[in-house]
Amino acid sequence: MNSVEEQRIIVADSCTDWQKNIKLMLSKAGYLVIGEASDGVTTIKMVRDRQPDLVIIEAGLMGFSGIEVASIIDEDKLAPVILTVDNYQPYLLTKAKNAGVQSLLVKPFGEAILIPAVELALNNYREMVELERKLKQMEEKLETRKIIERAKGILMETTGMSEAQAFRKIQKQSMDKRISMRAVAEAIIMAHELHKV
Amino acid sequence: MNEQAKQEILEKAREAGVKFVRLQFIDIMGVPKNVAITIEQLEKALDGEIMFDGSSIHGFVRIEESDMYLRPDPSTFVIFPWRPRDGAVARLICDIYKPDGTPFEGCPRNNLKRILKEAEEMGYKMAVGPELEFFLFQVDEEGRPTLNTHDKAGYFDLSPVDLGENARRDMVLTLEEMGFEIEASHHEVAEGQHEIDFKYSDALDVADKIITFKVVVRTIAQRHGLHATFMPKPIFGINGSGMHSNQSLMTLDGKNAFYDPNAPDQLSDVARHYIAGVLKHARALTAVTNPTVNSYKRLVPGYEAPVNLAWSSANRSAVIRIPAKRGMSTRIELRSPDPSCNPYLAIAVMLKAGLDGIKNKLQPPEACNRNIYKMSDEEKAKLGIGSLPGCLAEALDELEKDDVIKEALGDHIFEKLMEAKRQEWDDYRVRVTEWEIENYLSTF
Repeated sequence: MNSVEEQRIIVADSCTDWQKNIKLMLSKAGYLVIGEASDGVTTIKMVRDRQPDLVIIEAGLMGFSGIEVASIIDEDKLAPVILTVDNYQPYLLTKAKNAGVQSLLVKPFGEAILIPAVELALNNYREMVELERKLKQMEEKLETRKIIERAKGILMETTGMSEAQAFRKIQKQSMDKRISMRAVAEAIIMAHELHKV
Repeated sequence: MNEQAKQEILEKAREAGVKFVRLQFIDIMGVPKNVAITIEQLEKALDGEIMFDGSSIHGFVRIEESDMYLRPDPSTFVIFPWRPRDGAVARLICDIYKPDGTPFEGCPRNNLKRILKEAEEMGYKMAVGPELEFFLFQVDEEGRPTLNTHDKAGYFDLSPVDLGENARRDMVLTLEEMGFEIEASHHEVAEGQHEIDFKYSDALDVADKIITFKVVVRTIAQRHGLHATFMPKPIFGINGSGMHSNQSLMTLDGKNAFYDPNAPDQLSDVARHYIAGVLKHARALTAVTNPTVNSYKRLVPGYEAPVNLAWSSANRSAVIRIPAKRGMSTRIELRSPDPSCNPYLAIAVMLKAGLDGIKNKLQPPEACNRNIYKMSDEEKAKLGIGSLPGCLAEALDELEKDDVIKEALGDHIFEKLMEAKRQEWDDYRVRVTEWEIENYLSTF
């Protein structure tokens, strides 16, 4: 895990006093505030440009609203987001959930609220990214296995090989041609389909 | 729709967690409209049972014939890659049908199918490869588009070029995720101008893709805090945005009908007749391929846009260029269309013009390999090189006189288009422009 000092944060708030306030609290705790914005368009451009570790966004930004910016950041997996609001309304919670934000802070808040929220957001997000990476890996493995199974089936059916022979054949082709077993399997399936037509 | 295609779509939608489906259709102006339905209504939609009020759409129908049915084309099912947490959104492109079950004549997609069928009866399938250009502009703090390509405060670490490049890279990735094969993507001559080319395909598929392309480019630009515009000439004095249209005819057994290895320039008679047809009808079809007041601010000499009715293998001052590639890639490139056109109508009129050339065995003038921009008017006249219409009104007059192009649109679309475009021109004509103020206010 990175130390606090290396965590780069962008703060977006339409109220300059709060912008300063949040920046001060973060700096005191050792975080690096790498950008401040007071409207939605600037925020989204800045986030894409500077790739921060966390973004703290006020819900009521101009142009794009803070919620819209948060949704885009979530959908494009750019960074974790903490949303801040002036007044709590139940509908905001629904919107915050849909925008995938890490937490919703109601103003006014002090360090004792902000810093734990920041730390947890950074931590949870890292875990989530790791899980997503693993899930993707697993999905790919599963898909590869399915494709190789099908190709084996085709070889067994058309040439009368045993299962082990078919597997060995695919493996050997893969090594000889220096391409993945999946690519060999896909080629076998495609050739078989073309043959059928 | 066949049961298998239907089940496949339902399955895909379920797997991807689709919550909403947009049933998309195109109005005469080429603007995509859609009826959003929930996933529960998808099966009903696939059976063509979703109805909408046609009279609510500009230039569509009269009040008394307002009930229209949407028939989705299953091959156009795609899930938008930007996925909100409250559920993915999918899209189906639809044809519009009347309550009696016949295709509605005012539906540009139905109309294109009609012309494609005509080509098929002659033994041809059309392939089109478009090159769309667009500008990326900055937006102000309130999200309104500006004409600036530079970020005004010079605020960001990345140059404005990079901001645009990043957005464009994202556009390419998104389009690829949606099944596009991107052939090229680059920055254009003018500052802030970009081009993304996708692989040629059959005409209907390409028309669908052009619409999707514009939606994706605009959406991704917006998500990058930029504004994308397909306006043909947003800024005076620099290049405008075109939609060069590469086109060829394939025979039904899959050979390129424009290619003849034995001809001196390897162009078949079919290709030559097609070129002649397009040139003959070019002045009329321009009203469709360049349908806005602004389109004609692009079609002026000096900015790589064509104005001269000629064809050439080399120089870009002619309206038709023949790219060097032969064999299956033999094609002609019509350089005049711009991205403000309705792609269904534009492809229909281009094809119809070419088919007319083939039917009547028209012969094109000789290829012109000199720079036409540098010729005098007398020289041009001697070589029989005419020019494209100079303004929308002139193009509309030409369209009104050309029965072949009118037939390519059908009565319904022709009338509605004419009415709307005449009005657009009139609205523009009576405005007092900045240019007039600059030149006359203090002089008189």
